[in-house]
Amino acid sequence: MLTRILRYVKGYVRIRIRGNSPERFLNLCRYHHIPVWGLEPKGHAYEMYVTIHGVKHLGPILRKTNTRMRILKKYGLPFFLFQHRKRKVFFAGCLGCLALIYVLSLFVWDIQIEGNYKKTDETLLAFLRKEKIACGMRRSEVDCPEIAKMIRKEFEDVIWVSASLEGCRIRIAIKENSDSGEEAEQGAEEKKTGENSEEGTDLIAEKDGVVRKIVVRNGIPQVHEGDQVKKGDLLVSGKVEIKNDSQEITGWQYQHSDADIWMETEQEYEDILNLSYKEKRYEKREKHQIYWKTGKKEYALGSEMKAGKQMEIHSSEVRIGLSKSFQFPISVGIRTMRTYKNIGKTYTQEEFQKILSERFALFQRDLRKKGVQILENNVKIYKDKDNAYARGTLTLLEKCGKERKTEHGNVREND
Amino acid sequence: MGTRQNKKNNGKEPRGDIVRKKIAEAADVPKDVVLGMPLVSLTGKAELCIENYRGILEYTEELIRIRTKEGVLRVTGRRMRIEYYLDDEMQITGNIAKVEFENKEDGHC
Repeated sequence: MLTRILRYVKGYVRIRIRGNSPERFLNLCRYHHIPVWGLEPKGHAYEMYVTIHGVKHLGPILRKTNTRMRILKKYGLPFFLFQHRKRKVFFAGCLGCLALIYVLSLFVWDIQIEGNYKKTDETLLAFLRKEKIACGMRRSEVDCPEIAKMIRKEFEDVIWVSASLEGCRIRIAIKENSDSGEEAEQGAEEKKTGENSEEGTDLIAEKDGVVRKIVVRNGIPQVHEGDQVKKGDLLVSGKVEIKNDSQEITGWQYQHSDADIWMETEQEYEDILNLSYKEKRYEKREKHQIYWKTGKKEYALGSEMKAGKQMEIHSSEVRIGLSKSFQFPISVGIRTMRTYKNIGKTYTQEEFQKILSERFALFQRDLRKKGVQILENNVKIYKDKDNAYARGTLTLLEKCGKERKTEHGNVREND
Repeated sequence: MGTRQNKKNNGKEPRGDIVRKKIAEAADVPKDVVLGMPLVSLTGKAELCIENYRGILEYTEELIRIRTKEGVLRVTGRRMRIEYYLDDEMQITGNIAKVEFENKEDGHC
């Protein structure tokens, strides 16, 4: 492919040679480093392709071998340019196009942000716009380390930023702090607790249930396997007694309780599905509109479209560019409007059973993802006039234990 | 010197070539590089690539004779076309039937 392109750029010709010793002609071409290809015998003559440079050096060889040469056809860019030499406007257009591409390549036409989950693209772009970093700025003015620095400074929960210039696109990759919410507060609290030895944490039950397994790493267990507990009951105490040699309590030490407590709990499950629903029936007639956008301006061809009741408008848009990193500030798209009618329908028994079963399966999958084991499942599907229900009780084996500040006297109250 | 050696060998391989051949065999070096032997690669019946050749002796659609260091290579077939003919490599396409080295006794050369 590359060879073909190079040959086209340099130009080549199809020649026909006729003589007594074409083999000698070919060998002399090879000796003088003149490349020959597409060689075919045609009756008493031979046809082949030779480069323009090669043709210029064929004279002595032709004389030496007493061969006659005829140029059959000319190929390549030099011949194309010569043929169209009088079409000045066409060449001016080509040059203008190249110049335009060059000028456009001097500016930034796209800002791509990756890795943001909490901060939206709009928030970050608005901030960048405020700092005069926007589409349309010169590429030479882009200072990537400065952009990264500004974002880190402005957004505290952004822990890592990388800004790079790829063609006409600024690519900003960020990483947000996932512990920044409750966990950070909790961490700070823990730290605080650690600093002050008078503060400790207990573990309390979040739900009613039966303790099935308990492994305590820190703190004093207040329940045993098989114990029935209620919501809010103390499971592990962070208040540890300090005893002297004669087993008398001399003081208390407060610790951060840490334990794995598995409890058998019961959970109610209810899912209601309205049996009547509306289905969209699209009409065959569609309206199309072609449009192109440059910046905030939009130009459209075709009938005007306004959103209304029982109407759907969807559009697909393509950004024009030479590559992913060199895109022009022009987008072209097509917009389609479809009207529909709402038709009232009712779920059949099979349908509502399927929907409710699928929803329940999803619920079970979510529970399993959290590490909860389902021991028993009594969920059943019922139906009345208007609704269908999936209702029942699940017996679960799950990890329990919610942290709470240790209160003075907790242990005694339990005693 | 070389002529004398050739005479001594009575038309056999020159002594220099024998030495080179032995060195190439001992050192496990490709013979086409050291001895300039022709390298012929055939792709099915449709394509033949030849390296280390000296020149074309005859070319028609049915027969191509190529001079190499080892002798004359005779390619017979139908509708044969030389795809390219460069300093070090040439490619023949078409319906290739036979590729053989000519015997000097045959009198083709």
